[in-house]
Amino acid sequence: MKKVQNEREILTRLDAVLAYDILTDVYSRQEVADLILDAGGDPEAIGKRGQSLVAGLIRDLIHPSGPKLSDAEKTKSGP
Amino acid sequence: MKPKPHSFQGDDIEWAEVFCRLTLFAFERLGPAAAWARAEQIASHAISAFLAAEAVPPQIADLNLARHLAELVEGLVHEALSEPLSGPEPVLRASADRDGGTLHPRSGASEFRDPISALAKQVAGDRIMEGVVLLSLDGILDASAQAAFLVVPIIEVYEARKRLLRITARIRTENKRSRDEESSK
Repeated sequence: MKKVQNEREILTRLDAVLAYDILTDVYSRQEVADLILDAGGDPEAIGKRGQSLVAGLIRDLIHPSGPKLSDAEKTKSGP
Repeated sequence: MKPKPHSFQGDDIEWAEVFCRLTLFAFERLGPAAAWARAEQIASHAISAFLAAEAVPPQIADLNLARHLAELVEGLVHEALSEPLSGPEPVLRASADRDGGTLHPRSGASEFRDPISALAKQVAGDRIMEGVVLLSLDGILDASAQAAFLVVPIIEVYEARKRLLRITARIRTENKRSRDEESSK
């Protein structure tokens, strides 16, 4: 039973290792976009929302007294 | 050759790409519970937490941003799945039948009820991919160690891992579809 649990942990780690490769240059930008598309996502829209999110967050950091990015905007996501 | 975080360091961070990569990473880590809206929300929260942490921006040039963000996402996925002990369900199951360095589908097993059978079927004949799975089952997860064991260039291990990721994603999708169909009956 312990071995099975250990193997399950190892396989969970393998899943994590395979996924972590996505964050490295093992995957090109195009390959990332293709994976998102294949799984039913829209890489272009996701990228735009991410850029807009970060722009808002950085604006908040630079001008903390200015208009805040609302929580709705922070977590807004596509279909 | 270790893979480098892609465009994740220095002042010219391409946030659109970082966000895409992080969202896909979250999607993968959510496992069977994966949904794009959920993955994107997790990526948003991770980046928000990262940028809000006052100690982080001055050190950004020295920081492994990919690893830092990945850790934040892992924590959020962990919370989202509310599985404090086991974490996300692995696509690969612990019940692989192994014999002489080969993966065998279990006889009589329904492919989509038994993901390891589907996996064994799909990696069959791909020596490097089979090797990566078997080495991983033995706890050898580092790409350079896998390459050394398989006596192949590390780039071939990374390519095999890419193929493996696509396969596990496909198995997960089929499993989800199968479960959805069953629950709608």
